[in-house]
Amino acid sequence: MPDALRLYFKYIALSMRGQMQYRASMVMTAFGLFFNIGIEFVAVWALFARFGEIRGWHLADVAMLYGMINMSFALSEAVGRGFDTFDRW
Amino acid sequence: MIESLTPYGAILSARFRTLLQYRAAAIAGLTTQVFWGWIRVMIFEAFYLSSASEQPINLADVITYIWLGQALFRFIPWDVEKDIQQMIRDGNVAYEMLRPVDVYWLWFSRVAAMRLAPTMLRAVPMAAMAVLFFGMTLPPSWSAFGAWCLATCGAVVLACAITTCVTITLMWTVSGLGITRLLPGIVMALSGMSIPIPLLPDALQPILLALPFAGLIDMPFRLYLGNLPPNAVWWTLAIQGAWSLAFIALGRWLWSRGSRRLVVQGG
Repeated sequence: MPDALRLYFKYIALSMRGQMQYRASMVMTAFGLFFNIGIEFVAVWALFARFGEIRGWHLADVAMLYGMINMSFALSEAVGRGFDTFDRW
Repeated sequence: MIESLTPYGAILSARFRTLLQYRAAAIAGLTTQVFWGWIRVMIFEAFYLSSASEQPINLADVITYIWLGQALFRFIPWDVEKDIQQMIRDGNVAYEMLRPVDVYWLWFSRVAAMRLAPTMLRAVPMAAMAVLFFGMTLPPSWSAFGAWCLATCGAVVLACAITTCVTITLMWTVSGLGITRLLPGIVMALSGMSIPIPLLPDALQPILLALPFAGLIDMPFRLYLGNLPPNAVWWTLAIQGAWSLAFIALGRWLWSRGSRRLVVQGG
């Protein structure tokens, strides 16, 4: 188990360094993700602007949920997503 | 004239037949599409049921709009042609340039096959299911249906022109980054795919309808619904045509610039 964990962190470091090789592309990827999530949120905002509220839920409540879901999704991707590409390293 | 079009037609039909092989993928995609469609219908239902105020488009129309979108989802220009992307990455694009045809139209044909084949596989079963079980309605009149058919043809040309153009930008951003990363968000939001355009802020309507993306989804769908009168099809075709020409011109210009500075290494 400790060995496996050590290997796992080695892979993470390797992946980080690999991505840092193409710094511009890393920045663009990050910006792209940010942009796409942001534009999705604009859609949510547009619906609330049109309808006001949804059974007592306001934009702020939904924004909170939206943020939490996106954060947890991003974190789980960061921790677990790499497994299916490990063999390529 | 006809003869000079044959190679492009051949590529189109060959790619078409290749892509039609992926039936399992189509069925899996269909299931996903139904699932997402359902969720989106529930979201709009919740909004409409919690508000009494008059909306520019009614709930029944929104539901049909959503299922129509689920059925035609694959022809929206939100991604690039994967084979061309691979060719640009590994240098096989050099072979493509050796072919005695105009590379722009060759790629346009590849893109057309990639946009149309999966759509043809999915659209009809998806729409049939939606009409039978999920509350999608048929167009109110034959003229609405005809207008929608015409506008859909315009939308397909526009979608292919945009996709080809974006695919050519990969000549600069080889690994498939850059503009292709931004494309899904832009296209989904501005075409009406995520939210029907009439429900977006009123102040933005004229801008949204003048941009190229409304011609992909929103205008054809509203012709189908009768939300736009059938004679609005001419205006729709004019906008789609103008933007298609602009994207074709831009794509050809990008290709001529990109192919001049192309360096393929190795052998």
